[in-house]
Amino acid sequence: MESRLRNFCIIAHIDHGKSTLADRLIEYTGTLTEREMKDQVLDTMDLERERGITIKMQAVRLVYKAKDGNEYVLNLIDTPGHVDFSYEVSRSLAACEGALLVVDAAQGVEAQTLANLYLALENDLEIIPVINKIDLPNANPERIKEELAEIGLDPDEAILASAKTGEGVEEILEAVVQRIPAPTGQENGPLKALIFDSQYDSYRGVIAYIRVVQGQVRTGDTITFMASKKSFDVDGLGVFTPKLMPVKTLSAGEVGCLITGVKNVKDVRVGDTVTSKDNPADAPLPGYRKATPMVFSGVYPVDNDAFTDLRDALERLQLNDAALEFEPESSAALGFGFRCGFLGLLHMEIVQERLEREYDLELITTAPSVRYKVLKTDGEELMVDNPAFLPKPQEIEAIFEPYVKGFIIVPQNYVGPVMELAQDKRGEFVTMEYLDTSRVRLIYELPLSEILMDFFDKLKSRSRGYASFDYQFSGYKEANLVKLDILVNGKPVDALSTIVHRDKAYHRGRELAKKLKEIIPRQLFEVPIQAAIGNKIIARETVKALRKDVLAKCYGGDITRKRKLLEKQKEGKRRMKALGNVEIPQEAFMAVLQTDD
Amino acid sequence: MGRGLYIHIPICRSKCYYCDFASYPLNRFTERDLDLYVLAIEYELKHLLSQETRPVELTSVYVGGGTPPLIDTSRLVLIMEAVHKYFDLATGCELTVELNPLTCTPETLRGLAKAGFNRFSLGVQSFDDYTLMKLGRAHSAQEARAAIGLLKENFDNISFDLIYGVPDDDPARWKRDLETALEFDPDHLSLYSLQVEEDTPLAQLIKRGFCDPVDEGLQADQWDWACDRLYPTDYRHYEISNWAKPGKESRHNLGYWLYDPYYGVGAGASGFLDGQRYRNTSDPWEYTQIMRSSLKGRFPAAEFVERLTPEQMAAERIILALRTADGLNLEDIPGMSSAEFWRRYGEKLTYYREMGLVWRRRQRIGLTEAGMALSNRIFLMFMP
Repeated sequence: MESRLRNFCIIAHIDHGKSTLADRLIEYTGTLTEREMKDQVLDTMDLERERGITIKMQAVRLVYKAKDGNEYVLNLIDTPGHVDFSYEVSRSLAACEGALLVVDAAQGVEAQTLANLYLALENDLEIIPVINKIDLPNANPERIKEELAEIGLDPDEAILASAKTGEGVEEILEAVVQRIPAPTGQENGPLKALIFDSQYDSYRGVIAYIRVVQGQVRTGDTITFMASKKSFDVDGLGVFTPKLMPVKTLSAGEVGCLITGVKNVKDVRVGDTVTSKDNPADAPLPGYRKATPMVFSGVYPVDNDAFTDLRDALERLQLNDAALEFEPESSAALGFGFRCGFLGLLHMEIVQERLEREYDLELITTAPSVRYKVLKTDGEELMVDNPAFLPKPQEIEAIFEPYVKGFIIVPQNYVGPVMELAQDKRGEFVTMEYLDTSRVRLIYELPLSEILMDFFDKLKSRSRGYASFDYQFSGYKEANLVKLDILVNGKPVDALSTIVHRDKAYHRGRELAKKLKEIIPRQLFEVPIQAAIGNKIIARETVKALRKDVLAKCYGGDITRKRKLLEKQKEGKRRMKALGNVEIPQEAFMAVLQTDD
Repeated sequence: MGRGLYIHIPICRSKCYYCDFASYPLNRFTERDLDLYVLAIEYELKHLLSQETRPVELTSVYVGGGTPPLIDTSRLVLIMEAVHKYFDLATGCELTVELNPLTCTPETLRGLAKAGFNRFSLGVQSFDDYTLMKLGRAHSAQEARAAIGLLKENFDNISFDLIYGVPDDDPARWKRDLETALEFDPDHLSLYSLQVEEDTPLAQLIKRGFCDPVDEGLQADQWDWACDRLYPTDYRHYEISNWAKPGKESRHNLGYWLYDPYYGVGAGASGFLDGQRYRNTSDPWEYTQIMRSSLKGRFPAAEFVERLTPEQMAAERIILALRTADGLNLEDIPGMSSAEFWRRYGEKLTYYREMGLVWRRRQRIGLTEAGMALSNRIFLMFMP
């Protein structure tokens, strides 16, 4: 049986056709009937389908009758494509022996292709390059092969395919069977299974996705989670076809899910090892990279009474999103809310959108911040992820900020503008190399905080959309940083404070004050907006008082129409936060991201 | 408490650039269409009365449009005869008709007198030809002056509509217009700030850059200037956009603000009866068709009916009364005690009072002139 099993995943840059290819594999192997086949079945969340990105991976069991006449069980483990979710990629990789590296036949190797490839190589996976979308009129498989050679892959091994037309799908399945090794592992020894993901289901409790490395697990067994040392009875085992299908056992090499009725997701830690209670393994499997939040922002309910609803919603989201962190915090301006930690900007946006959409909450989010390391004059070291909590300047010995190694792939003729941008963003040049005759790979050391601002957008506009970007955390570096405060109507608004580089503080302060002037609507009185460093005001703008807001028209007794106009106005007002007597729209708290510099 | 009747004549010679009211050009109607429309109004009046359990006395009738005299005053006579036939008119009942300078001929005025109108609302808008052109008005300043002269020779109780805050407006233009209007000594003035409504030719002109958008600062200056100019005169600023000599306030329009019920009759007319607001279909041909069939329900031609919730009633009562200079008597709010009112809104109102936007006299509150200018912002707190 073991030799008829293959565990593999698909890795790709966003939009290179990973989900469509997965659909095609499922369809080809007849795992779903045509009627059941919805486009991109692996992306189950609404948001995923709308944005065309995969957030949560799933495992699907495909049964394939190969040309050698044997039937193989292929476990396809879906992986997210976006840089924010690279830790989820590393989880799925740990459960596989091989990976399909999908590259768009027109666009070629992109930054995420490389990042995912390196992760796969770290995990000793067999790589099968797939050049996808060869049906496109501008497809250029020969050029892509050159690029593959440049990044160390054998171009002759690449399979030409079109997930859209189905071309090459059989060849891919054959390659999976022939090139990817069968999982190795002892079916006889004590149970060892790696939890590579978990999901919360309100009926079944926590569902743990596992890869059995050694031994066997059966329904009715009592198992122990080695890290939490808690034991549970196995209520059920299943595989995904892609619907959950119950099975009685999962053996070494197999991938499936484990249902124990555990209600607390914290008992089932991703990366933990499952073993048998009666015949325990002596040592757990090596865990892997834990997700560390890199981006932090305050999330507050518009209506303060909704605080508990927000907490409940975050707790529920966390059940299915182990990377999400949150802890309560309060702001003089915004009341009670949570400081949330995210993997990156996309993760942040997705969480916010899910909170608003699935839990019907109205939220104000503050501008994202990174986590600074602050060394105080008294020798104490602390981590600050909320600019409002930065100690007073005289108490600070030094501030360190997180840096990332940024990989940029860009056509040669845009190298100049892109390098200029990286320089503007305080980037330190590391290296530059040619991928092929026309495309260049740049590596920069960049402060993460600069990437949070508007780096992606700027990069896209300076390269006319051709540049791709990926990054990984590289460490902390000391920097000359100051806290920039914003005063509205003479009062500091803690939620608008940011930490910026001293050289940029004046400029940023002026831009921010100007931006806020545009965003804050006229009030019944004049409202000064000031930017300050410490006690020093560095910029000031004034929102002039509103003079006239009146319906001086009769509408022939059509009072309903008058009322509708007021209702519309009221709706706009409901989405504002009152700071004293000044009403500030939600966007104001994100304004810091939009300043143009 | 009074009860009003509004009759809509959705017909104009041409459509002004800023207008988004229900109105159609005269040349689209045959004589027969017009006869049938008048008949339809009579049917609707009869039908509305048939829904009442006892005779109804009206305190005001307002025939607006459009330009009512365009359908020929003989038809207006028929309409007013029908009103008399089905309704009782209170002593001194206010009978207003809207007209524009081009319809002010001696013959028309004789017809209007015959129909029994005793109040005349003239759409002057401006005494400046360039401004009239920008607004798409069909008449000239000279024609407006002549019309006023003629109107004044024949009738008392005349009101002018004037518009300020026109695109590319000249501040001096508004002062001249208001001064000119005052020279004619009207009994009543409605001063409207131009609102650019979506899907009007004016909105298109602005969008395409043929004229600048309305300058809100200038509009505010013009409002201030009109308030200051009229303050020391006999005219009292009795409602946000209306000024009148003592006793010459429009009873019909006051009815809207004081929450009196009113019938709306004709295509595009709005009415308010027994806590229900309705609006008839704006298509006069469809309206005529409906009225000629067997009439079903209380408002057979309504394209829209809503029964107000108690919260909406309270909010409307408060907001509408606050449009008037006399303000709101806190005992008049349906379903809300004045104690409850203060509990809900006291803090904010005190703040607005300190800013000089709101006044309070015993059980009455109201907006100052400064408060009127910002009234929408103040009204928001009352919205459910």
